[in-house]
Amino acid sequence: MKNMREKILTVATLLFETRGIHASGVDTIIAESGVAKATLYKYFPSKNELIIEYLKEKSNRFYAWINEKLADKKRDSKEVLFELCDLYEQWISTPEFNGLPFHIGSVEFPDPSHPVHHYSVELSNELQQYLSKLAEIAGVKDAQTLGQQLTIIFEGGALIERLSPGSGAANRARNAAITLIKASI
Amino acid sequence: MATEFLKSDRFNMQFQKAGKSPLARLIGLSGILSDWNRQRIGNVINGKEADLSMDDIQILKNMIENETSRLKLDNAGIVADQILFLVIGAIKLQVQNNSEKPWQLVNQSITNFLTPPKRNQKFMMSLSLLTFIIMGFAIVVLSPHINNKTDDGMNPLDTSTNASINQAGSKTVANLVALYTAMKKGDCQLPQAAMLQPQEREAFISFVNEGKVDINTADSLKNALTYANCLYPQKLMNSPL
Repeated sequence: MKNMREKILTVATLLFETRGIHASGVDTIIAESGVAKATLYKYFPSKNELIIEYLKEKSNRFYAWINEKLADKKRDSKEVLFELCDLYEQWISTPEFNGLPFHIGSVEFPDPSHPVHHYSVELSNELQQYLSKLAEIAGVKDAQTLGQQLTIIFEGGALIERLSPGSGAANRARNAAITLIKASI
Repeated sequence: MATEFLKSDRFNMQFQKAGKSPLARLIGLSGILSDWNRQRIGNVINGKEADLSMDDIQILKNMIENETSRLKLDNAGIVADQILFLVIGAIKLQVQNNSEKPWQLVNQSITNFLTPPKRNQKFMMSLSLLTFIIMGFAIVVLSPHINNKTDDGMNPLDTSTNASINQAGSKTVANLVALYTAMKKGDCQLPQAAMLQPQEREAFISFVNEGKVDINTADSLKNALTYANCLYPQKLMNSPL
């Protein structure tokens, strides 16, 4: 039964990322995944919940990947922050990159009261807290501010890279982030 | 929708009026974009309208690059990139969180990028202070040597340190009188009076024979004395027993 849930989510992810969230209706997801409508609603009571699950999975994949890459790095050193910038560049330069999870959610659902938009804000805050925590462990004095600044830079770089892949925006955003980190030390 | 405003003369005028310096205009840009973004968030119907287009980004990029290039920075390109990413990021985060906070951070970062680090200012201040102290110390240590030139047997005719040349005043006259006293203790080779110009000759003869210094001819006398060479007996550090 768990496989059924994963199957629906995998199909939905593919459709969301290739056609867009709004363009991928529940009927299409049902047809593509070959499950009954009742089965889909059993695991995902609404399309919004399916979207939130998709964003959560996407975000979890990012943190799993980045934590794995940073696993052998000394966390109490500034080097970990520079490494983070390199990883960020790698991540948003991949051909599969189609935007930060919270960016996708907030753009497709601009209404702040919408549950998907609301969840996007949570994801954005989560990234900011993650970056601030890394900065704090690395010994940055004003870790909170640096975390916020890096979130903004990463957000800006990711958008430009997505709109203009291969333009070098990822690398330039990495360099900009490194300058910010150096200024904060 | 986004491009319409960013392309407009209104936006350009607001930006130009935001400040007289590039730094002021870039800080002002945050305020303009923040207001515009806040208004459009309320008007967005289709989610895609909340996104920026590549044209929008290009307009902002040109604007920022134009301002940073005026600052003649070594790394103007990198600074322009940093500001651009921050501005784009702030627009996105404002849409997500409906908060002005990202713009405060953008302004803080722009100020950091475009003003010299405090560490350097402190360093320069410390360096200036150290230079001042060293110069003061050098003046205090060296000044007795300058004043004691005559006593140490050095040439007292070098009036450049003792009197202000071309400024015949009481100080010049006093120095010349002191010089006369010193010359009496030394073995001096005086220039032939015939070598001197009439005005210098008159002042020189009066000075050598009678020890007189006329304030009106003090400069002529100083010129005449540049031809004099004197040897003075060495003074000992300690009086011989």
